[in-house]
Parts: sequence; structure tokens; C-alpha cells
Amino acid sequence: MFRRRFAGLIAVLMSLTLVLGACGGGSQPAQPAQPAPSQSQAPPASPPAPAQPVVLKVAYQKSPIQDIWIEKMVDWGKQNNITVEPNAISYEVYVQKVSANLLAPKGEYDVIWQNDDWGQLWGPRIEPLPPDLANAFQPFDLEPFMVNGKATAAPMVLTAGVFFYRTDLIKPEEFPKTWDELVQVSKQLQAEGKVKWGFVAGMKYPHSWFSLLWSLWSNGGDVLLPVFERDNAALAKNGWKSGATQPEFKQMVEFWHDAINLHKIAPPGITGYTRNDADPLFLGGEAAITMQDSTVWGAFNDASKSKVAGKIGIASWPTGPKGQQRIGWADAWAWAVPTNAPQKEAAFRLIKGVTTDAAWVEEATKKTGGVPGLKAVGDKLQKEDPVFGKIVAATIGAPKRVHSAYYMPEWPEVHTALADYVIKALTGPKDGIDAQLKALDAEVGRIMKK
Amino acid sequence: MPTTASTPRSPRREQMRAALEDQTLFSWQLVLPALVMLVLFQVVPIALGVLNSLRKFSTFETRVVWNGFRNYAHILTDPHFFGTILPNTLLFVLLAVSIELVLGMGIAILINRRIALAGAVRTLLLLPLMVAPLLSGLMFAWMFNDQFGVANVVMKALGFSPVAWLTQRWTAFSVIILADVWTWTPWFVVILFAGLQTLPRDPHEAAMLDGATPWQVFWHVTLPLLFPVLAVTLVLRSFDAFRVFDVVWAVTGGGPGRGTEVFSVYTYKEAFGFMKFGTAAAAANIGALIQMVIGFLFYRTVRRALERSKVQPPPEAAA
Repeated sequence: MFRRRFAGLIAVLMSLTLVLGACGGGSQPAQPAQPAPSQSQAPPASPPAPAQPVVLKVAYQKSPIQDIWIEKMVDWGKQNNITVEPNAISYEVYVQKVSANLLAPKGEYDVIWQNDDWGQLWGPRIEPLPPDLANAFQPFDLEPFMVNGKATAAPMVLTAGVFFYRTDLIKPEEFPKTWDELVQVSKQLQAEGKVKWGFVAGMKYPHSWFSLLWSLWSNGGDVLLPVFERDNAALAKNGWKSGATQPEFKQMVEFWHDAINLHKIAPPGITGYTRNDADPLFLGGEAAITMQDSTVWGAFNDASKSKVAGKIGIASWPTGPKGQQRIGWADAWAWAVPTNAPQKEAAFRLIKGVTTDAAWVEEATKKTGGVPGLKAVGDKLQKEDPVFGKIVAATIGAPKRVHSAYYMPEWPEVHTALADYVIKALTGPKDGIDAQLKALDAEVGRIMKK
Repeated sequence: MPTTASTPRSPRREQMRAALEDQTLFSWQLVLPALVMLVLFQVVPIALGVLNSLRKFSTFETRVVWNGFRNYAHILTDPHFFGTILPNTLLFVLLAVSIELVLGMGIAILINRRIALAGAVRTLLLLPLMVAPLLSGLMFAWMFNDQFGVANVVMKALGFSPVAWLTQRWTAFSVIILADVWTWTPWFVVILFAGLQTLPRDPHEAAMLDGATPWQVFWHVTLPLLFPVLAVTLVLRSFDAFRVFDVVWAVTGGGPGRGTEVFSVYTYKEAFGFMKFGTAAAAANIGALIQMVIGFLFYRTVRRALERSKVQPPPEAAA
């Protein structure tokens, strides 16, 4: 009987341990609440206990640009008695992990990397910037992060889509300015045996910016109508009408169908490529031209990874037959504070300390590429640095600048549908393009009606 | 103050106490840890999933908004769900599990014989099981890359034109099946080999003495005797294959278009691609219901087959 009772007691204790473990054991130890300097209480009568060190957790994606920003944050923290604890998260699971964190009653991160691509998805769960911080940046750059009329993220850099090409094969003045020229130059280089492919870039979702979307915009088309409109109220007023059945859209799909199947200037597998599949072809010297974020400039010129390092030029997008003007995009990578962040006041001090430090922003831009979030720094660099001048000319200096995403919650679904139906059209017969675009039009209607 | 010790217990109460101590209570005490685990990590998440499926639940919806059965209606009226996702998933289960079973059975029979370096062969066969399915998916994606992949090197060496494997629905689907077969066939080998080792030798020897061919021995003796093991492996692996995610995600991400999208990828995209957690929860519940129905039918069929395959004991043994 004793043994049975003893076993029963152990069972009950185990159960209690499990319950307690499930309730509290798995959560992070709570950070001691840090009173904000402006909210400090009256001094205590007894000698004050030593101040608890402030620890700020920063969620970011590993990349050359964010890596040096994180180094700067850690340095800034040391100078301001704040411990900055970087939490690197892979790009592939970044949105998933941070979304889960934002949904929790008590957040883990004080500062997160915020991107214009998903700014609209997290918007209500991000703190508005203090007005003095928001005023440091250009209104256009903050548009993707506006929630209820307030900016919610502070740009560190503007990432811009630019063309990279081999300067040993193409002279800067001979870089294609139209789609036709892109085909001609590519075919010529392939015929001469200098490269296997004229153009290569990512195409499958979510890498469609590097092929489908730039060419759509440079032909005067867009995903939703009116063309180049990003204001949700204006798009709603127009019934969220898709641009898929417009002639500019169809011409874009036909261009890629011909580029892959008729002219064969792009690899047959390009419809399944991410930029991680496309970059090795350009860096290995097998393709003459690619389209990528300007922020890879440093990595593309790293001789340990690139056979074409030191032989790379930057250019603007070639224009399609219906394109009226040269188009460019440059949208922000930014830092933001979640509404469930444990240390909001200190987090904003950190963000302000690094993003508005002009000397640092200039240093970061020179080290890694991209367009700085601070306009004054951009203007200064444009005068001094020829490479930066080319990036500016291809992006924020283009006659027409567009945002590279839409800012309604359904954008990821619309973007996925666009990539899916266009890729179906590109992997099928050319006379099936119309049917696929009509189906895309209907699908966008279905998504926006829900 | 009276004490309990001084209070005489009724015989009936004593009986009840003894019964509880001896049987029910003690049993409950033993079951309790497992029960708590089950409730915390199975029942509660399932209940939360059901609740979430009735909500508008996303990062851009900060309030709790009940949505009735609209999330379910959204999934059930999505033309892709019944037109592409479900057929792809069922086709994947059918093809992958069948091929894995046939190959697994063949290899298990081979290594069940006395062969040279049997231990080394068995160890080598287990290697794919030690690779995470996501990694084996990535491996196959690069093997079938149109520019760098070893598959096209072999095609060229054999005089064929290279193929853009992952740009067409059925070639991409074949690569996914191949990756899954490579990963999971050893699992069938291990289970079926263990099953073969436990089979009695007498019926085989008797059949051979009667002049049965190896095929007849396999078909009429080995297979019926192994049927219970086969049934269990089939049921377990079929459920697992219905939930396949990692291999598909790594090889194609569900593309080209949505040509190879399966149920788990669909649910994942609803949740983490589109941030519609309520809709994703509804999709997951619908998937669970579909699995339960198929599982019930499958189980009933297997049970009947098992009853038919039972070896009847000889009359003297029964007596």
C-alpha cells in the first residue's frame, strides 16, 4: 500500500510540475520594469539600489547592411549604459517569427527590423514614432509605414532595385535603354560566346520584383489601377480594379515569354528562380545582366564570392514599348518598436540615436551601398561618390518613383496571385497568355472582395 | 474535539475507500501525468485552433472579432482548394506511399537474406532517415536545378537535352515524389525488415517442400503473415504524407504557379504568407476532418483485410 501511495504521490507531483512548467516555465523571465527618465518617481529615502542595466532585444535579419547597423547599435548602447542584445533571424522565417511575437500579450523584442513589403501587415501592432523622430525623414519614404496618419518606422536605408551589368562586356553608354535593346545586346553577347545568358534574375514569388514587376512598371502598367497609385482610399474608390488585362500588362508577359522561349536570353528555369538561384549565374560569369537590390553592391564585388568582382556597373531599368518615362523605386528598411515591447522609451532612444546620426549614416552607406534614409546625407554623397550617383540616378533620381509594394492587408495574397498566374502563362503556350491574365484579373477581384 | 480516528467508519465507506485505493484512484494517479500532458499539449491547442477558426485573427486585426463560419466558407469556396490543393495532396499520398511501400518491401526482403556486408548495407540504407526532410528537399532542388544540377549533367551525358525540371507541373511533382521516396523508403525498410525477422520459418519451409516457387511463397505465405505490419505502416505513413510540407516547400514552394501546392503549404501560406490565422485554422480543421474520414474508411478496410488474413489454427490446437 505504501508503495502505491508513494507512486501516486510522485504522479501528482509530476502533474503539478507539468502544469506549472506549462504555465510559466517556458516563458522568458520578465524584464524588470525600467522607469522612463521622464517618468521617474521621487527619490527614495534610503540609498538608491544600483540601477538595473537596461537590456534591449533587437530582432533583425542577417545581411551586410543590418550587420553593421547592429554593430553600431551595440556601440551606441555601450555609450548610453544600455545593453543591446541582437537576435538574428533568418529571412525565410523572419516574418513568421516576429508576427508570432507581435501577437503575444508580452513581447520579446524591443526593436524590430520593419520592411515596406510587410509594413501594412504589422502596422497596428507597431508604436508610432515620436514626432521629432518622424520629422527627420522624407514623407515619401515613410508612406509604407503610415498607420492612422502616423509614421511607425524609422528608415536606416532605402533599398532600391537596380540593374547590374558586366562592364568588361557592355560599355556604360551602350547599356540597353529599352526592352528591344536588352534583347539585342543579350543575343549579341550570347552569339559571341561571351556569356551563356543575357539576363538572369529572381522571378518566383516573392522575388518577382527583379523581373516581372520592374518590367511591368517600366512599361507603364501596374498591379492595381490607377497606375502607380498607392493610396488605399483612391484604390478602393476605383473598386480595387486589377491592371492584369491592360495592354501594358500583357506586353510585359509576352516580353518574358519571348525572352525565355523565343530569344532564349534568359535560362529556361528562370520562372522557378529566387534571387539566390539567379545570383550565382551572374557572379559565376554566366550572365551579362541582372536585376537586384542595390544593397548587394558590396557582396557582388567581393572577389572571394564573385568571379566578376570589380567588373560590375549599375544602370537604370530599360523602358518597355508603352513606357512613357524612366521609373525607379527605393523603399525603406527601417527600425520599429512593437506595441508589446518591454522597453519602449529606451528603444526609441536607441533608434533615434542611430538613424539620425548623419556621420554614421554616411559611413554605413559608404560601407554597404543603398540610399541613406537621411536626405542631407544622400545629397552630400551624390556630389562626392560616382557609384552612389549612379544608384541615385537609377532609383530616387528617376523621373518617376514608385513604391515597390501596396499597403493594404491583402497585398501578399495579390502579389502571390500575380506571380502564380504570370508564371503559369510563361510556362504554357503563348496563345494561353490572355486566358491566364483574365484568370488573374478574376482572382484579384475575388481576393479584394473578401 | 472529536477526531476522525474516533469516528467509526461504516463498512460500506471502508469498502469504497479500499476499492478506490486499490483500483480506480491508483489507476488515475498513474494516468494523471499523461492526461495532463494530453490536455495541455493536445486538447487545449485543438480547442484554441477551433476558437481561432471562428475569429478574424491576424496581425492587422487587434480586436477579437467573431466571424462565424465565414473562414470555413472561404476555404470551401476557394476554387484552388478542391481544384488543385486537395487533388495534389491525395495524389502525393497515393504515389509516394505506394512507391515507398513497394521499394521498402523489396529492399527488406533482399536484406533479410544472407548477403555479404549485411550490417554495412543496413546502415547505409538508414542514412536518408538521418537527413532532415527539408534538407533532402533542398538537396533535390539543387540536383534538379536547370543550370547547375547533376540531373542535367547525366541527361547531357546520355545525349538528351537538359530539362528545366522545376518549371513544369508534372516534372516538378516527380522531383518532389522522388525526394520523398528517397527520404522515407528506409523507414519502410526498417519496419518491414523487423516484421520479416519475426515471421515463423515453418510455413515457408513447408511451402517450399510442396514445390512452391519463390513468388508463390511470397504472395501466399510471406505477404499474408506480414499483413498486420504492412497495414500499420501504411496507415501511419499515409497520415504523415497527407501532412507533407518540408519537401514540397524546399523543392518548389508549391510552384510553378500553384501546380505542386499541397494541403500543408496552403495552410502555411494562409497563416504566414497572408497573415490570416483564422482562415488558416479553419483550413487546418477541414484538413483534420478529411483525414479523419479517410482514416476511418482506411482503418475499416484494413481491419476487414486483417480479419480475412488471420491464419486459422488447426482443429487440434483449437481443441
